[in-house]
Order: sequence, then structure tokens, then C-alpha cells
Amino acid sequence: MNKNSIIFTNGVRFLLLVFIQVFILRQMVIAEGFWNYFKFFIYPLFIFLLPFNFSKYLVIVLGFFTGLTVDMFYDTLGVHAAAGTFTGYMRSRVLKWLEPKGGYNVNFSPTKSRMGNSWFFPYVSILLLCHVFAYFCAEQFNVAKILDIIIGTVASFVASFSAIMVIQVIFNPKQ
Amino acid sequence: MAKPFFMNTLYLIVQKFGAFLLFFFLEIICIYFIVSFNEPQRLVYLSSTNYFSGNYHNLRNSIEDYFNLDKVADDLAEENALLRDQLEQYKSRITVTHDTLRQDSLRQAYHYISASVIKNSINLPNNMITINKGSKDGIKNHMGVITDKGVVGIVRKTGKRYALVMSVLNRATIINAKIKDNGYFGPMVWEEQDSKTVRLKDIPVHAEVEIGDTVQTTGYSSIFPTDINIGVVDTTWKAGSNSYTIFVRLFEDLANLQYVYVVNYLEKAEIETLENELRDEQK
Repeated sequence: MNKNSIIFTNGVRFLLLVFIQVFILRQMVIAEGFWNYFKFFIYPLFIFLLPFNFSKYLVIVLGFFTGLTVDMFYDTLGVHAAAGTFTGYMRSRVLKWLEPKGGYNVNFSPTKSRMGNSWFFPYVSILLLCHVFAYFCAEQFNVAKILDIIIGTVASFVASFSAIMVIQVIFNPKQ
Repeated sequence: MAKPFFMNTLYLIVQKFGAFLLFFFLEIICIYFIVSFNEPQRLVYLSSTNYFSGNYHNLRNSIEDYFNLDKVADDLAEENALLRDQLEQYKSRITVTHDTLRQDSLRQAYHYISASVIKNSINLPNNMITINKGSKDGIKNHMGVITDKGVVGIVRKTGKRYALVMSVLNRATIINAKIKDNGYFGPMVWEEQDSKTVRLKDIPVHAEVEIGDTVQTTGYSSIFPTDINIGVVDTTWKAGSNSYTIFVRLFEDLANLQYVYVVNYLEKAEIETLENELRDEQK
């Protein structure tokens, strides 16, 4: 697989995910009150699915800019960027934890179809939890609101995980 | 040698912590963005900075206040001395209205000098107190030392900046004292091993002394002003056929003495001259 193809695939994925995030999911509110805690994040999937051979520095920077792009549409400059940076930083660590015996095939992306469900679910769960938690920390920005942070993290994790899995089932990307 | 080693270390650090440092740096930027462009978070940020800086300033103030206490206390003592001076001036003026013949009483009789105690003892046979004022502040030997509660002692030796005070708790100290209610007086001495009690001797048996009566200075010795409180009558004891010894509980606790006033009796020189002249004539 050549380099241009990798950039093209990830570029399209980035545009698509951010587009769905900011033009569809941003408008989606299930109901008022408690349901406000349920937020759908699918753009982190772009960070999750970056190829293995991208350096950890590049992943952090891409995470930062992904979050920044989303922030521009959400009008919350810095909040999603903080979460995206954290996710980018955690990705290399989570990959190290979950590394199979034979190592990764570095030319590809860690997709569900390549890595299998038993690898992909924990991988997405851990990183998504990191992302959602970082997001709520940055949003509340107050240690005193730790309860809001935890409730928001759990609720949004459930919502986002479902949404990401739906997307995986629909598109099921190979790379 | 040093440079490659240094570069190598730097390389290792970057390799080991580079991702974290990049992450950290970008998070700082994010937090800056969050605080600069998001009103709710900015409010949290501002209120917590206020909270922390406010507490910091409070703490610093209270600590500084504590260290300033010495100075505050000094100032207060100076002010008290000044007020006592003024009081003496007013007293002399009031006397004028009653006693127009005494032109001299326009003059102030006593001058007070505030001083702080820098050394003190209470459990020796002859206790001395060191104060931080000396001859350059106008202190001379044989001046009385008092506090607002009671009598402390008599200046015994004066240095340039310090003076030694013979405490009431000193066997050599003899102060003339009287019972406030009936005016009977006698020498007051200290013979106990107790820092709270002194003896007032030679009170005649026909004097009606009751426990709880106030004991004051007489002013006869020109060391202390008249009617400075000393203590209260604790017990009476018939020392001989015609005199009482009275145990007096001191008002002033000499164990925790901090600020004192040295009494300068302005007319002392004149009185002493008279007394000396009389003594010379009698020789």
C-alpha cells in the first residue's frame, strides 16, 4: 500500500467523521436534563484508526488538530483539543499494552476487520474512555464537579461506543 | 567528551519523555485556549485563582502581623507612656483650680518611660530584671518601675542602653506601702520563696485591716508616685505585741512581665537636696 493511499484514506475518514460529528451529532439531543450527559463522540475514531507506523509524536499532533477542528464548530476552543491530545498521547501506550505476541503489521491501521473483535473492543474502549474523561474534565474544569465528570464520562462513553460500533459495522474499513 | 555525553543524555531524555513533553505542551496550549475562549471555564479559572491568591494573601498578612506584634506592642507601650504623661499634666492643672497658692503644681510631677523586659527571674533569692532602656533614654538609678497593674521594682544600675531593675522579689528591695482604706503604712519586703506574695511590716495592731484590702504605694520615698496599686491583703499575722505583718498578694504577675514603665519623679532632685541639707545640718 503506497503512502498516498494512506494519506487519502485517512484524510477522507477525517473529513467524514468530523462532518458527521459537527453537522449531525452536534445537533442531536435525546432529551433535556439527565440525557444531556449522553454525548456522541465519533471523531476519536480517526485517531484510533491512524496507521501503526505513524510516529507517536505525529499521532499526538494529529489528535490535537482533530480536536481543534471539532472545537471550531462546537465553539468550545480547546476543550475537544485537550481530549484529542490526551487520546493521541494514550494511543501509543494502549497499543503497547495490547500488543499481540507477533507484534503489529505496521503498514496497516488497527481496524476491526484486521485485528478482530477481541482486540478491537478493548482497544476502542480504553481510548474512548480516556477521551471522554478528558473531555469532561476540560468541559467542567473544576475538581468540585467530579460527580458530573464521572456521570458524563460513563453516559457519553456508552453513547459514543455504540455510535462508533454502528459506524464500524456500516463501513467496516479494511485500512 | 562532555558534549557527546550531554547530547546522548538529551537524546535519551527526548526518546523517553518526548511524547509526554509534546503531550504536556499541547495540553498547556489547550488549557490556555479553554480559559481564553470559554466563558464558563474562564469563570472557574478566575474564581479558583482568586480563591488561591486570596487565601495566600490572607495567610501572608496574618504571618506578617504576627511578626509585627513586637513593634505594635512597643508602639502601644510608648503611647501609654505618653498618655500617662499627659494625665499627669492634667492632674497638675486640676490641682491648680483647687489650690491656687501652689504655683509650682503647674509643673508635671512624673514622667513615664516605657521599656520592655529582656531578662527576668523570679526564683532566685535576689531577683533582677533587665530592661531595654538606659541612660540615653533618661533612666537613672533609684527610679521606680511599674506596670499598669502594679509595682515591679527599682532601677539599681543604669547602662547606656540597658538598666538593671531590682525586682520586688529581691531581699534588698524595700518599698514604702500603705493600706488604701486607712492609710497605715510600713516597709514592704520580700522574704518568701513565692513570686506572688510580699510582706508589709510594722502595721500597728490598732489598724483595722481586712483581707482583700488594697495595698498601695505611699509616695513618701519619691521613687514611686502615690497610690500605685501593689496587691491585696492575703493574710495578717501578729508579728509582735503591737504590730502586724501583712502578707500581700501582688497584682502584677512578675513571672510573665513584658512591658514596664520607669517612673521619673521630676521633683526628686529638689526633695533630695532638701533632705541632704537637713542631714548635713544635723551632723
